Amino acid sequence: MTALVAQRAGKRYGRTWALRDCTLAIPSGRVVALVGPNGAGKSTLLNLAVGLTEPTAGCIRVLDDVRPGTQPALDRIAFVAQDTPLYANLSVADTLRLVASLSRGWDEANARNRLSQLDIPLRRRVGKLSGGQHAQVALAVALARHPELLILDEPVARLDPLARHDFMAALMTAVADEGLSVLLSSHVVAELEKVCDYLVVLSRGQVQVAGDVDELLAGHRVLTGPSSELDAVVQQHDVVHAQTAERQARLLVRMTRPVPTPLGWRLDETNLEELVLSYLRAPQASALPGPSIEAVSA
Amino acid sequence: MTITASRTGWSLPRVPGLPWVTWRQHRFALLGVLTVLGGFGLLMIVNGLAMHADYHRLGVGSCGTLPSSVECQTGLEVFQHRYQSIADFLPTMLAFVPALIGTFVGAPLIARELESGTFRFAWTQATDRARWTVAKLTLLGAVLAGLALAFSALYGWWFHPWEPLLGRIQSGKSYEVEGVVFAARVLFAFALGALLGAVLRRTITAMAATLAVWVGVVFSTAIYLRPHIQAPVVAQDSALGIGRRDWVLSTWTQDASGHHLTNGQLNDLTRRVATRVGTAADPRQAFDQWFLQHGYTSWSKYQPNGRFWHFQLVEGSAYLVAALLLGAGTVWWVRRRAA
Repeated sequence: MTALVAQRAGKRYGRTWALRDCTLAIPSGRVVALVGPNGAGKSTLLNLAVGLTEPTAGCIRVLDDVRPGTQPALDRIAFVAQDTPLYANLSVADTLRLVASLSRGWDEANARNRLSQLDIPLRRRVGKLSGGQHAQVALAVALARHPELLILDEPVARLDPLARHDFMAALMTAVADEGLSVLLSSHVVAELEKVCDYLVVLSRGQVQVAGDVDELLAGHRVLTGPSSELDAVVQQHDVVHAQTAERQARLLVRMTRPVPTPLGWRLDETNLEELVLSYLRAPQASALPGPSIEAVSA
Repeated sequence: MTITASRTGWSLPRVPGLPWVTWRQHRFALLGVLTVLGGFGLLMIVNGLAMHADYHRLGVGSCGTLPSSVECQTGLEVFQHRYQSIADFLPTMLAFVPALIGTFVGAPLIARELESGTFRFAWTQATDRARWTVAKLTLLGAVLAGLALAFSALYGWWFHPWEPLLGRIQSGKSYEVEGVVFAARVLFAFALGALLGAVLRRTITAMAATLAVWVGVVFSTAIYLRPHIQAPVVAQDSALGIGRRDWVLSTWTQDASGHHLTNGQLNDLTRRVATRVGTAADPRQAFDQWFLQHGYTSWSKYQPNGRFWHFQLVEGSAYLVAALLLGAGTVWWVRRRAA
């Protein structure tokens, strides 16, 4: 079961490739974080996945070989776009009715429950809601369609910390209740550690890292030691990125083979944020520890 | 899926799906169109009732094309004094209403979605965006066409007393508002605006472009193509002259051997003859007599008023076909290129 498969997919706008040679397989039933700096091609990949654009090269399939944008894909995927666009002049109730009119399998009670729990008045115009409420309405109408795959493009980028927390909490509750697959792009890495179990790092239009979060964390360690010995350690280990401050060096290494910890160095576990940042700072270290397409579909 | 209303008391029958979406999103645009057409309609009803009453009271109707008696002449003059100016400016002004509809209803239809980013919301629901576009274009198009046809019919009633006097085939006048050309042009403007909005992606730019293209197309077709819908009638002006109801394309004077006189030649000739007959007892009659004796004749090329419906149907069909092509182009663009 895959949520998304991309095979050498590329999208070019004019002369610039927003996404290039993207090969990727994302298993379903996961909460997938798609991270990368601005302009890395995250939105492009997501727009391709929901069928808003078509690839210039290669191909993209969703939910086990369904073409994005076709009726089965539209029926089974819900999308919360960047800045959560909604019609500002519609009331919340009319927004629900609009989505109901354009969807199949719409669950009105589900949407109303969700909104009443958040104290969002149905009569208020969407344009008058706070940023957090606005995003919550977008999430509620997406969830009330009972999608198999929910795709969100930077849903919390513009929210304050509290609204951001509430949004992620609502999303996680829904994931726990309904068991849907989620593909979520973000450049706020700190938010993702608690919620995501699969990571894709996109950099300069290409996939840099893709894999299960636990496996990625288990497969990487942080080495700390004197910077005078840096060169020797780098030769022995598979170093993703090295950071030196005065006398101390801090290295993120990949545990591809068992290597003894050098004398006078300390070996620690890493966290998702450090892992992502290290890879983003070393765009050449574009190894893919994640599963290949064959491995996923097998 | 329909939702059950949980409002207290009354509830309207619920229109499902895309028709409701179209209505909810464009009801203010439709209200605007209704206000403009309704405003002019009210003006025509109020003015028309008075005008029709005066027309009968002054006996203008019984006079025929050319007033034969003094009473007729006086009645006609009073009638013209009261109503000629509105009969002149109203049709010219109303001729631009389709452009307004294209600019304010057609151009924002898709441009606003693209500009504000709401297309990412609307086109990722379970309704395919081609269907969404087709529904909006056909539903709004049908309503606009219906309103336009009703408006043209009302205009026809209002203008009716003038028809024997002014005809309705004259370019730039009633021809642009009566019949089916007006409604066909509304559809053309609407579809043009929708396509330009989808391609240009900016509401204001699309509005300006719609207005400019509409004016360009309508003026150039009216000036360069409409006279060729049917070969014009070429006729020598009789003593009665051609009626003021026909659409005169050109007039000229020719000599006995059939050569057309240029304006310069005609001016020279007129001056020479005028000095020669200046001493006659009745210079006016002597002047005409001289031209007649020397074989000069004046001619007109014109489209008779009776061809009104033929012209309307030909031109209306052309705009309708153009509107359908533009609509199909809009759907294609939204599907393939827009997002």
